[in-house]
Amino acid sequence: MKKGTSQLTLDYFSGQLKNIKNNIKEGKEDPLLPLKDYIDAFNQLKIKKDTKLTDSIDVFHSLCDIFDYKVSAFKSLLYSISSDKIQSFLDDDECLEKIVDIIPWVSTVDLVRMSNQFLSHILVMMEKERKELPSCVIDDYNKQEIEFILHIEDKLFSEQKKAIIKEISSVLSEKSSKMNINEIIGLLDEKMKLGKVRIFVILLHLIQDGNLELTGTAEKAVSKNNMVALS
Amino acid sequence: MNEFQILSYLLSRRGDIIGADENTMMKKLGLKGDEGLHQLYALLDSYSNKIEIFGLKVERNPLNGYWFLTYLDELGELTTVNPFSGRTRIAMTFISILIAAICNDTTPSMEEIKKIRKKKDITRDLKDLEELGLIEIEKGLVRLTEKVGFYIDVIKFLEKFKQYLEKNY
Repeated sequence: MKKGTSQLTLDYFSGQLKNIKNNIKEGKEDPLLPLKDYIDAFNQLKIKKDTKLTDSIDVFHSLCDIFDYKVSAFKSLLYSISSDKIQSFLDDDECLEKIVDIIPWVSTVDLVRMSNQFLSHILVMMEKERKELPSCVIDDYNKQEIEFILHIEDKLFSEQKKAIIKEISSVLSEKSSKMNINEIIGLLDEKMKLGKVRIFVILLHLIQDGNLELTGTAEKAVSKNNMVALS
Repeated sequence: MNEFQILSYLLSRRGDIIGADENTMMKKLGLKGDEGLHQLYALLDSYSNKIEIFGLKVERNPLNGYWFLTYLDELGELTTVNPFSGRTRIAMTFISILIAAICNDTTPSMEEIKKIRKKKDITRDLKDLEELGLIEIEKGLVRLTEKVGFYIDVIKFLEKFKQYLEKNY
């Protein structure tokens, strides 16, 4: 059964979470960091009825595992702080002053402190589409695989050319040494069943190769009086 | 008023309520249901990308799930100031409470915090912090609230504090 967009997104989301889970399990990713791809993946995930319940359970299961890892990591971080060292720290008279620089403060933005002019500028800029600058890509031709196409002779076409020469020779010897081009195309098509266009192309090749000779002028060709003769 | 203006207003709210949760934003933007939630995330994503050029970003308080506006990390590092508008006294008492909470298995008492702060009286500081909604005091015990997430990155603090202790004590 063909999968819907929602199902595919759910599969992608499930895969991402399993990756995160495995990375945490293998120590490649810090469980205390926020899930960066979570919102992006969730943003694409349209909860509709065409997603499989089992897959949704799978996603939930992965999320629970990740949550479990996060709680365990937080607990282990908390308990890894030595109580003796904390006591030594607390005994220090200037303990608080000494840690001022390591405090990771979060500053919420206070728009009231910003000027109206600046805010108006922000809002105008936000409504503008941001265009990505073209990136410069340098091709490494030493690593690039170049495909060569070798045009080999179409054996079938050559065989058809030979067969047509043979056929024209016999026709011309039966009738006369000269025939109208329309007549000969019709006759050859009837006998060889190659299609009029292909026969015409082969005749052009034969004329070019000098096997056939076209007599008459361009004006006559229009009036369908051109004749071919085997040279 | 466009959607970005509404988001700017909601995410920069200060005072009793900082920022906004999903429900409030959806209500103000006229979005409904699951589809509305996806639209909200798409909007927040777009908004966040566009305000980056001003050194701002949209952050989520992991303790209460409220979204708010803050500065990009590189800008924050450039101008590290405590969010108590430079009131070092309150900031220090706040850190004392945090350390007391880390050191104690139970909710720390006012007396324990006073010992860490090494000040005779911290009543005024505690009252200010209570007014800011960062702590709740009940029967002499001081409990940190979810609003702490708007002022400090708790996980980062724990990691840095541990490293500091290991290096210096």
